[in-house]
Amino acid sequence: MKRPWNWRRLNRAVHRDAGYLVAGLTLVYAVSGVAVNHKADWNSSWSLAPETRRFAPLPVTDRDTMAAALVAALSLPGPPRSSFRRAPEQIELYYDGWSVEADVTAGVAKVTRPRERPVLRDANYLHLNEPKGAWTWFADAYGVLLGALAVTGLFVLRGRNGLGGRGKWLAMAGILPVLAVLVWRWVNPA
Amino acid sequence: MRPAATTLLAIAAIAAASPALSAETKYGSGVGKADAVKISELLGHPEKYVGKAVRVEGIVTAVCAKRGCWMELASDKEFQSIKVKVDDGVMVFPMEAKGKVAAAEGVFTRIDVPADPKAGTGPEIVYRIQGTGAVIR
Repeated sequence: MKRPWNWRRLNRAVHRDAGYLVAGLTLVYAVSGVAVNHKADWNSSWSLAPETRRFAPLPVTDRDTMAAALVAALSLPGPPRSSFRRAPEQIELYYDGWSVEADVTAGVAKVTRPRERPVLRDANYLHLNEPKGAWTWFADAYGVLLGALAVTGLFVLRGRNGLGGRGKWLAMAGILPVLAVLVWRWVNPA
Repeated sequence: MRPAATTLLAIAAIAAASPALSAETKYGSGVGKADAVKISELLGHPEKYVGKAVRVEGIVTAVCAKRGCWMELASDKEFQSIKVKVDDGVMVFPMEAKGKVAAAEGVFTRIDVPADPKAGTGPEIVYRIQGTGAVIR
């Protein structure tokens, strides 16, 4: 026998299936979200950790001569892909995926080999929509599903644990910090 | 839709989104519309170009490590470079770009940086390109 139309049953089904669909990406975005919140203090995608090396000061000449002298002084693996001078005594050598910045007069070089942070770099790659293209559509669909998950979640339960009971207080507790920050922003425009 | 089909669809979407392996990578709208100008010409006669769309080319000497939201290109003249800035997330220049040759297009912009008595710096004029597209090879 056909069951009568019941919007709560449909709501539960949408909430359940949307929950399954968004679970994986929500975890990825949660990790990346926390990481990028602290981007001012910490680079969550790349570990730079430059290595400082010292060498006997070299004469300031032309770029190619200085580059060759620096390669020899630091025993670097051959000539760089390219080089650049910011100032007469400064030279930068670029290799595939790493670089050397040196002050030849001071005899100090900084060797930087950026390394992707495992998991975090991948999570940020997706969260910040670096792939573009089809990923934009996929992530938009995820956003719609996440919205559906939130709205249907409000109506899953009835009674004292539902929106009419403690649910309304918890929902308000969740939205209040958002409203407080927005009101503060309106009162104190930049 | 069957759950297995949904999973396959998701995997296909991810695969389609993966950047193609290519020696040349395009960012934003790429390059090609604006006139190519030497960076030394831009910085030598900035008043001629402020507010205009320009295309420049040079070795990438630096990339924003946090968001990939800017890159710096070496000028054809020694000790000169120019920053190509994009809005966060619109384009993401990769760290691996350092040392490669890039062509970038955008609006040549003048920024008047006010004096900062705390830092002990005076007012400064900075020129940069507000990027709309780039190609790195």
